Amino acid sequence: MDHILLRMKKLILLTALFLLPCVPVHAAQPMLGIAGIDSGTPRAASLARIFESHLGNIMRSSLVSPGGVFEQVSTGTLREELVRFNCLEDSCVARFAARAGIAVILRGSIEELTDSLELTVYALGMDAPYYGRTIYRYRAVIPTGGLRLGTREYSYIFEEHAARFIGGFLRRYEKPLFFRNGASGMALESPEPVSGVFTVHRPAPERGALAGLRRHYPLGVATLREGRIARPSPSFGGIREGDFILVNFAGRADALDDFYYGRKREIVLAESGATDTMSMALFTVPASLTMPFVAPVLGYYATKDYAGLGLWAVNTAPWLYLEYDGIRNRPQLAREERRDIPREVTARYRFSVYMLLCGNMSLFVDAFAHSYLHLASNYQGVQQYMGNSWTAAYLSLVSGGGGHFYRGNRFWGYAYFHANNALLYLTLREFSGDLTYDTATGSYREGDIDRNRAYVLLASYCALKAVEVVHAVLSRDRLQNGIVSDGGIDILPYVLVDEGRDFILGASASARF
Amino acid sequence: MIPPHGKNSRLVTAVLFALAALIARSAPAFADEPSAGIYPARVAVIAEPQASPPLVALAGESLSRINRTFNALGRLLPEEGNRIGWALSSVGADGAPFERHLAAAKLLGADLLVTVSFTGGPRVNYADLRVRAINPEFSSMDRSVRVRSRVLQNIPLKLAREIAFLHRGTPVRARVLGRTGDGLLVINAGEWNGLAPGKTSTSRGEADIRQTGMYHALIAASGAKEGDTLSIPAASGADTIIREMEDRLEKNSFRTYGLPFTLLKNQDDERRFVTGTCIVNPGGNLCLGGYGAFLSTEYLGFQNPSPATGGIIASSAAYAVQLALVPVMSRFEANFFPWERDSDKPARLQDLHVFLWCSIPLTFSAGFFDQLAYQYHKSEHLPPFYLYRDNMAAILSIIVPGGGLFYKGHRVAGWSYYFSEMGLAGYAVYNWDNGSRGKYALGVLGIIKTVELLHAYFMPAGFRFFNMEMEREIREVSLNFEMRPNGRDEAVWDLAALLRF
Repeated sequence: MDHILLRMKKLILLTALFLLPCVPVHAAQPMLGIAGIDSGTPRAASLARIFESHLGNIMRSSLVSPGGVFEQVSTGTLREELVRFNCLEDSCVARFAARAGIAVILRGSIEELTDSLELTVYALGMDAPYYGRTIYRYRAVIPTGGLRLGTREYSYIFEEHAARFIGGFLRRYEKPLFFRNGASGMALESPEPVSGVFTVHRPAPERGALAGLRRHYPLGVATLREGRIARPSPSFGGIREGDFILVNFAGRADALDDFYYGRKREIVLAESGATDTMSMALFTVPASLTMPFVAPVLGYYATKDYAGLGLWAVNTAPWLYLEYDGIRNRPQLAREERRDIPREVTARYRFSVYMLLCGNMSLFVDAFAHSYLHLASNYQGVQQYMGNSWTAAYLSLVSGGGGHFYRGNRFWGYAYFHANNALLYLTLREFSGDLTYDTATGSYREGDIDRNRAYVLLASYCALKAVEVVHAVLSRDRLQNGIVSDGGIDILPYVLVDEGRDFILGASASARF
Repeated sequence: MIPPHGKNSRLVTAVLFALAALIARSAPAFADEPSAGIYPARVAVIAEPQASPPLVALAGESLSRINRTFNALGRLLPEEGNRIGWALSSVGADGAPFERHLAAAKLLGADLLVTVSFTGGPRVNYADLRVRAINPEFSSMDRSVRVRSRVLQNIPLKLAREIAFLHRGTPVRARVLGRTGDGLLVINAGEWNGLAPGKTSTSRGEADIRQTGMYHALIAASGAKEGDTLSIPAASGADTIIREMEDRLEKNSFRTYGLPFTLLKNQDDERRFVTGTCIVNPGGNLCLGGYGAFLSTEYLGFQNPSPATGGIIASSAAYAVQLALVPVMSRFEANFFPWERDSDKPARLQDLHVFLWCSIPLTFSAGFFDQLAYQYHKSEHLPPFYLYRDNMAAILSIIVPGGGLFYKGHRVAGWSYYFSEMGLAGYAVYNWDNGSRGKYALGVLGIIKTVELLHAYFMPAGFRFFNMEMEREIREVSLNFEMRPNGRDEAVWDLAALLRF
């Protein structure tokens, strides 16, 4: 009997399917479908499956879906059906999604390049307010050259990118929640109660001819409590069925970012505490003393960080010269020869001593931290001594930009390095007076010092240090895998030579969406 | 949160079946859907049938790349594969391939037809791209291009780059499909075409784009009416695509010809280059002046290399001059070593002596770079750091006279800079205290050095095999011989001589 009933159920279902008119399928939440990540090679195809799996898992996870954002269509089935009917282009997939009532379609591709993979993934919105527009596009170049990457590492990498894509998508996505006139009056159709101040939109009475576009107008602002309009009533009058508000999920995106950043730290960085900071403190003087040799040779060159080497050469040249000059023309030599000692000589000498004892530490750190963070960002083992906020604070305190170099941020590192050194040198100079040798007494007489100016400079230096330390402590370690671009506009100057060999100067603005 | 099992799961499964049915129902409809005009202007991209499996794969990749490029540029929407398949089967197998493709494109209502065909050679592969406007509005895109490459993966990239070149300065063309109740016009161009809400100019006056969808937009334009075609200037991003394609062409070429993928597989070519320049080559030259530079090239993996005799003569001659010039000038009376000064070696001569000896490492390096350039040319390999070649050439030119030119494979230019700069530097040192001669010489040296740096940075590389991968269309007489089936189990043999102009 059961068997017959089961067969009858199947028959009824199949009959219903082929009689089903092309109307959107109603679901409690908007439906989301992952319509396949394209790939050109077998390896890229297997990586695409890993990425799709992570996309689906994260979308279903409690981080994204408490209360529900989407109902998810089975990725494998959707892909199989689209491939079976050769519906592979965006135009076809979008048309299909619109007919089937899927609100958001995720698509993308993975392409193998010489020493990297290029991942592109984007979300198309079918409902209001998108009508087929791209909600979010994410593009990442994932390095593969010179790295040991197995299934586990690739899984970590693609999970990270899936999380970042979903974070970016949730930050931009606006979900329409419609008002329905139910038994208990006009209320928002939402699985969880919505409260707050929202702009209410109303769709125009008719759709755009042939296009499926529907204009909607902002009516005005209304306060909602538990999904109902709170008193006093909004100035634009009553709400009709079909009016809607748009809600976003920026909070969930932030939570997702925080979770995956913390998770990655746990995977790629060893636990590091105050004792590591103490070790770093003990190591400061030898490291700073040997930086001019160790950083370029054993650091940048040995780790093939040629860009770092170039930056090091350009940025340290003036300060290394100042150090060298400070030691070579040190005041002690002038004292032995009983010459006058200008304040610049004293200041340079003191500055040199500072740089040799701890000021060079920041670039010593850069030479190694950059490489360690590169390994960590690509899941190449567990890195020791990194990711410690105490160490970042200590390095910022004793050297210019040390904490930021430690975090992997070269821009801020060099900015603080130069600002710190310039301000410190000026402060030392201001606190040093000209020493004039008095032949009558056989001793040196110190010239006047502008103490007000000196203390202003000292206060500025202290303020800079405070800002730098706080900035370094609050900064995140640069652990992100790959180079990511997620839309925006690139403005690039260009010089072209046309076929008539004339120069064309101009600028281009390119937006990718 | 959706529970993995239970009521929602059953609902989603039911939805899936419904979706499958929807696709099943809609698939045949795609083929005869009269969609002309509703979507943006469309292009049919069709590849001629290929016989060999590599060319079939190449055709598939090329179609995919060209379609993606059209999609990225947002001017002509590629026809869907299933519609093209339907159209090709509808027009039958009779007639020449291009005529059948044209008939299929017309059947689809496409505005433009792009066909590609491929010819595989023993070393070089060719692809012919033919663009034919069906809608006269796109007649400016009519073009036939032949590209070639030894690297099979580069053919689709070159074809895509040509498509991007075709789009430079091409505006969005949109048709007014209708008018909504509130007076807005619906046009068949949307976000996909690069339109965004805001005011813009069109060929029919000012327009205010109020709302965009994927392929459509609602606009307010008083000067336009239903049926009009609007020309809307919007950035196509063609230059960005061209740069992207060229970047990929370079990377593919480097993967084919670069040392880390060929002679120094799984080895660190960059470190070998630096070590070779700084340690191995100077050592080799100290042992065998001039010839040591050639021997040192083996450190970069060249198997059984042959020396560039001219380069060895040039570097040996320069080395000999550096050692012998001062003794000759002093009629062999002065001390041979520069740090020893005597009555036959006045101060200016000693300065010159010091300069000549100090610059010997530069001569060794120039000789080494010249030998490497010769090996790169001869064995068809690309040097380390090649993907950053402009920066690398400038850096090498800062350190070694002519270094950047050697690095890019321009040996004669490299030696020209080397000898002119070294000559001027020597003259400036010798005459530094002799009036203003030395200063003038230094000034001229500065000018030449600046020119060299610019030359090294901007000069394209001189490696023929690499330039072939980067070139655009070829314009030379080509002979084409092929066999194709005519659809009735008969073979048609084609022999053609082709000259493009």
